[in-house]
Amino acid sequence: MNCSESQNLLQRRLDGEPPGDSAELARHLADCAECRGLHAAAGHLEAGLRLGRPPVVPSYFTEAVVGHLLADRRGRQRRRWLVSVALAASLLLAVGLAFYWQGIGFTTKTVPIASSTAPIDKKIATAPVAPAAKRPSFRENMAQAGSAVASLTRRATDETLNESRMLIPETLSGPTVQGAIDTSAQPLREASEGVTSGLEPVTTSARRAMNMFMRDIPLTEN
Amino acid sequence: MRHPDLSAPLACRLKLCRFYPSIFSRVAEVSTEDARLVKRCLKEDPQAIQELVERFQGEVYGLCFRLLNHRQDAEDVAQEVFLRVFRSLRRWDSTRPLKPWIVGITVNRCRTWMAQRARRPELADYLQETAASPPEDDSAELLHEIQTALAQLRPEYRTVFVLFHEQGQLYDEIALAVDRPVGTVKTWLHRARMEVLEKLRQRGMVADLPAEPEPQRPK
Repeated sequence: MNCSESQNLLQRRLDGEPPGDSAELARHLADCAECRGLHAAAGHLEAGLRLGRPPVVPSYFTEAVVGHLLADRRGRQRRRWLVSVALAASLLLAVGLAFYWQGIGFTTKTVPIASSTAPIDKKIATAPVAPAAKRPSFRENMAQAGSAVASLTRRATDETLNESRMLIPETLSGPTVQGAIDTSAQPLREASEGVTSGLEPVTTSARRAMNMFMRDIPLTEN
Repeated sequence: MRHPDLSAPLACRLKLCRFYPSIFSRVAEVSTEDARLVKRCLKEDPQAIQELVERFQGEVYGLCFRLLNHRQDAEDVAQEVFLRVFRSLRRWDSTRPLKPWIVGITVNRCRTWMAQRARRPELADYLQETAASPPEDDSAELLHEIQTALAQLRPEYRTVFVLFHEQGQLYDEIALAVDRPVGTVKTWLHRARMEVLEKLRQRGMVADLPAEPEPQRPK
């Protein structure tokens, strides 16, 4: 028997298995001080492990742990409830805001516009308002806002062109120069028309809003 | 690592017996009882919760006590272990035994606690043995030396040593708990034993057996 086999037998002994060939082991231990010391130490280790007791659980441990577990579960349930309520409230708020926003955007009242010849007085401001026939959709309102912006941009474009012409000296002005200006302005005009058509609904809506605002201003009697 | 699957066909289960022969015979009865207890705990039955804590507090607290070498830390970590057990109870696989799963959580929590404690500049007190009556002979000194030697082991070596020699768990159960192959567990345990034996010898706790007298050589 060699040291490796001796140590294998030592491990099996500590595993609780039968000792095996004790005579062969005894002969090896007689010759090998190292293995002899290990087997002696194993004997002391076994004795010590038999004497040792597992750690004693404190008497208050079970009650403390169970109480902590139940409190933790109650806390988690409360947090889940709060989160659910918060989510539901957020959802309700979002839906409510969406309805409110659509409501103020759709309000249209067909009010007869005062003619330029008729005197503007309180009677017009308090004239009966005809009920709205139908609420325009979101798309219609956006189209009106777009037309309002387009008309504003068209005006700004025309003014810019006029001022540009003023910068050109009169000696150079002529049909060719004028043609060149018109040619270079063509893309700008086309762009303006494109914006105008796209934003026409926006501008219409803005115009209507201004009219309503003007009518709502309280008038003072002369 | 493959685990015994009670739902598998008989031939497959018999094949798995080869890998986990020592625990398979007990798995069927234990897992049914465990599953019943877990089901009651999930219904928040206070008695079931207490029963589960009482069933496993010995292993959990004992392992924490041995690994951390500090009574207060052991209590804190053991409590945290049960907290994690109950929070994860729904994810427990009912085809696996409950004890290795709980021991595995205990090992992980102790490992995390030791890593955190290593970063803190404080010393851990060695534990006080709670024997009912201290022995009058050298046994107390021997026990103290064994515990000192254990405290100097690597955490994984100490874990398998405590699980095997103190809690009496089998190699297969320890392998499931630490999530390592059985061969690795055996290697760790053998090395742990050799280190403890060597330390006992160095501390003078072991008197070498006298060798047989050498045969006299002829002149």
